[in-house]
Amino acid sequence: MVFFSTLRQTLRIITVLAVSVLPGIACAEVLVLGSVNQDIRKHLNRFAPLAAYLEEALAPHGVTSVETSVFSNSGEMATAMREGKVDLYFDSPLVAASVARRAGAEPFLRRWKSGVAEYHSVLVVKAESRFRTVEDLQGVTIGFQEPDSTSGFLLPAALLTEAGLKLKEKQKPWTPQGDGAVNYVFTGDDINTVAWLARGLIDVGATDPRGLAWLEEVQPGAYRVLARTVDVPRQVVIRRGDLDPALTEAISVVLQDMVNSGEGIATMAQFNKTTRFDPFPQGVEATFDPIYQKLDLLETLGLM
Amino acid sequence: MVGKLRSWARALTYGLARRLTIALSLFILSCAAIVLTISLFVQKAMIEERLALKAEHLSSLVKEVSIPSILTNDPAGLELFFHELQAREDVVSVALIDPGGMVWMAGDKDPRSFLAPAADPFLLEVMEKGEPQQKICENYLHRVAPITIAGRTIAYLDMRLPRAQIVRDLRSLWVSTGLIGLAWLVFGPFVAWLVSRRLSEPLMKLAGAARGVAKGDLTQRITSNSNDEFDLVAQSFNGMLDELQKSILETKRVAYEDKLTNVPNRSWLNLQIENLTIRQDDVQHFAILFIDVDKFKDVNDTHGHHIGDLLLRAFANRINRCMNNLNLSPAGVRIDKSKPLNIEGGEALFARLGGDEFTLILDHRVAPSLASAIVDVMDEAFQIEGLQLAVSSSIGIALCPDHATSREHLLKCADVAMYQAKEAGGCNFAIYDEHIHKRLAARTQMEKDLERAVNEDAFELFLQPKIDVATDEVTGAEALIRWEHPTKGRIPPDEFLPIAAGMGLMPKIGELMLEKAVYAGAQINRSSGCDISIAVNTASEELLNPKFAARLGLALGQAGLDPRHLEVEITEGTAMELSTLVDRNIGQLRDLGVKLAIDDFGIGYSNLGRLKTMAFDTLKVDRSLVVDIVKDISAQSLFRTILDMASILRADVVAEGVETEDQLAFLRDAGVKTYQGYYAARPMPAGEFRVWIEERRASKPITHSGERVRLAS
Repeated sequence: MVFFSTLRQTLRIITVLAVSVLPGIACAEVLVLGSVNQDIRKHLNRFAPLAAYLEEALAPHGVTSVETSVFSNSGEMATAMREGKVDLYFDSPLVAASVARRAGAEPFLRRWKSGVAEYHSVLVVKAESRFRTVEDLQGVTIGFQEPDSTSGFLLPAALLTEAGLKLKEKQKPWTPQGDGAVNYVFTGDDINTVAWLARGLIDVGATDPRGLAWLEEVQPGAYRVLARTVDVPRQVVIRRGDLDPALTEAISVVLQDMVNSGEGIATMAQFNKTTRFDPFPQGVEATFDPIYQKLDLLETLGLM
Repeated sequence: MVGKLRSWARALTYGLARRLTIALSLFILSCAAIVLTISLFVQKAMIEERLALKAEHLSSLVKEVSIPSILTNDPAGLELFFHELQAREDVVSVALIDPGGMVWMAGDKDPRSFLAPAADPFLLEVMEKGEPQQKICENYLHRVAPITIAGRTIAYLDMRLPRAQIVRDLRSLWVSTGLIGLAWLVFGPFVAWLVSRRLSEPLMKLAGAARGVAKGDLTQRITSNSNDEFDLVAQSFNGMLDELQKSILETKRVAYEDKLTNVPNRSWLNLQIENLTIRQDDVQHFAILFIDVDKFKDVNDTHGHHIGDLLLRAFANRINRCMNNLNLSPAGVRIDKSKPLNIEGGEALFARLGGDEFTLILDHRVAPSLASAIVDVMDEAFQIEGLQLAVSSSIGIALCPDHATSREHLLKCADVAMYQAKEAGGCNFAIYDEHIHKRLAARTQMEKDLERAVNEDAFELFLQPKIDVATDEVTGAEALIRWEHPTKGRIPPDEFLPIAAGMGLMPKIGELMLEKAVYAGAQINRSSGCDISIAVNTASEELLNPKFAARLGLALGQAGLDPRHLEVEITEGTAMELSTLVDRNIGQLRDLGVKLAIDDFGIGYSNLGRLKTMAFDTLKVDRSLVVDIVKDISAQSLFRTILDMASILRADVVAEGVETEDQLAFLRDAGVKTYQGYYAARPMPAGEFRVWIEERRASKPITHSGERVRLAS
């Protein structure tokens, strides 16, 4: 059984890779899941159980296959959705909102992760740091995760921008500082962000509560939070704008129903520690209007 | 205790083969122990080394993969790699430590957390030394290696690899080594035994053969093709046995072979019969032939022992030929005297008992045929040194187990059967007959008793009076012999005298009775004042003794009896013998004054011419001519004729067996002078006779007639 499962999974990956490089419109019978990440292999592995689950659950609705497409950045993802190559896209809310706006897609469901429905971003400094407020951060180097990270870049960048600070990117931590601006570098990963902070490569690290908890665990009292952003959904699911409503409804039902079965729970757990899919409690608009405003600000400043 | 242990050790190490086996076993086991120990340690080291090499190899791999991420400060780039690395079963934990001692990346199972300080003493030791180190812990191999670029340490790789497989491998190694050791414990002594057997086999062969020789088996030989010095030993041993066998066989022949005939002797025969009869549970069927050369004594007496020996040799040769004709294989003297004859296989033993007696042991089914053939072939005359010797053979056959099962009895039975054949006239063979044997045994016993009676002078003198027909007076007495057997009572003279004659005892008995008779006669005459004469019977053998007359004269002198009162009675047959010795003795008796009587006259064959020349005094007419004399006219006529003949020869007549008055009346009428018989008196012991005659004399006077007395029944 394990062998056949692995074989099937491998075949599916091959198929997805083929589909990802071939232009065209997704067939109605084939449902394509999308993700943005530099590590394609890691994400394909992460999506495979969910794809298999959906393929079986949606078969009565005419879905013959569920595939996964991984793109290296949100721009490619937006293009893909716009071209109908991706039906569902899973990501953090600001990135997903950015893609939705560009691709004409719509936020669809909230995705819980590790039991967390909403989260935020924090700016962490070493406890002995001289910085007390965000205004103290001029001339320092902040470590962001990556441009397409909600908690690792978009939310804290919006926070700093809203505080009137000017952000300036530099390539390496040791690149000379720009005067009068907050210099930032992309660490590439939350892990790197906290690692760089711990090793003193950056002065401030932008991370999510999980990264903060990690630092407090391994070096209790060594770090403190300088600033905290607003809460946003932990993860969201957006759908292609022209996706069949009936199928959209069926997908919604299936995803929300996963929490009610052991198989569904196990499948979600394998999908990057997902614990639930549910509708946005305040509705889509109430949830995403502030997000779109932050996106507008960032776009205005050329940070997106 | 020490003594017991010593004796036990001695018993355990007895024999070269056993000592060699023990020594080789110890050597092999020692070698095996050394090899196994070395192998164990080498394999153990290899197993440990294998893990160390694996750790080193894995460490190199991780370092190569990790360096870019370390240089770019990208621990996240290693997350998946470490995660997969950690998922391997052969990795307990893996972590990268930065030079400041902080965990740069760690697998899920590493006890230290990402970014946590790594305060492991072993890590600190490696940091201090700057070289890769590894140590073996109970459950894992711990390896810490610095990762350097251009001589600068950029991180430390801390890996723990499980030793579970190593422990399993080591356990398997111990078990397999133990099993191999156990196998050697069994296999080693077995190999040692095989080798020592191979080496000591020639010696064991030699020892076994020597044991066999010591037990008397000289057929033992050693076969060897070992292509070494033992071949020489084997050849020498076999040669020595060949010579020894020849020597012993020669010795046995000296001891067990008859030098005259070159056939086995009595001793060998006895051994072989014993061999055949010793097993009571498996009785052999065979026959014994007892062969005797008839008249061999005559040949010896006549032609001397040289001719007799040649005759025996020729006799033996003829028997051998008879055996060959019947496909019997003569078994000679051999080394193994305990080996039984193969009777059923046609083997036969021909032996000389001694003298002219030979014996054969053979298949009982062939015995009569061979006996018959021997009798036939011996009937032909032997040509020896120009002499024609006619002898024959008498053969007795006894069968085992029909007649006896022991050597002594079998030989006795065969001997008896041979006598049966002889009694049947010789030149014949006879199979043992139990009834005849009994009869012969009784006769033999009688002979022994007679011999003893003669030696002990157990005979008694009886006297039967002779009466004058006319005057009814006692004129003499016939001395008669009586034998009171110790167990059988009184035995009639008719029964034992012929046996005594056959034994040649008659001269001796005659001598004894003569002495008694002359002594009794002298006593009676002296005590009674009579002059009766005593008649004694004399056998022809006595008259053939040239000293008979002289001895008789001596006895008369010693007893004091007047020779005129002694009458010597000889039978009609003795009287007719034409022998110089007899005539000379008779003449000497006559010279002494002793009277002569012809006894039992009328039943033998008399030569009237001979009678006429013999100077005898009395004719004693046999009782058979008296018994019917009253009624039988022809008997009367015959009796009167005898009387006339006696008258012519001037001899007195004594009628024997007179039992009635009528017979006496006839005798009186015929003019017979003297009679003897129950009518007058039965024979009586000499002592009674003296009383009887004194009583009779008291009633009647005794006439001094000078009559003769008779010594016969």
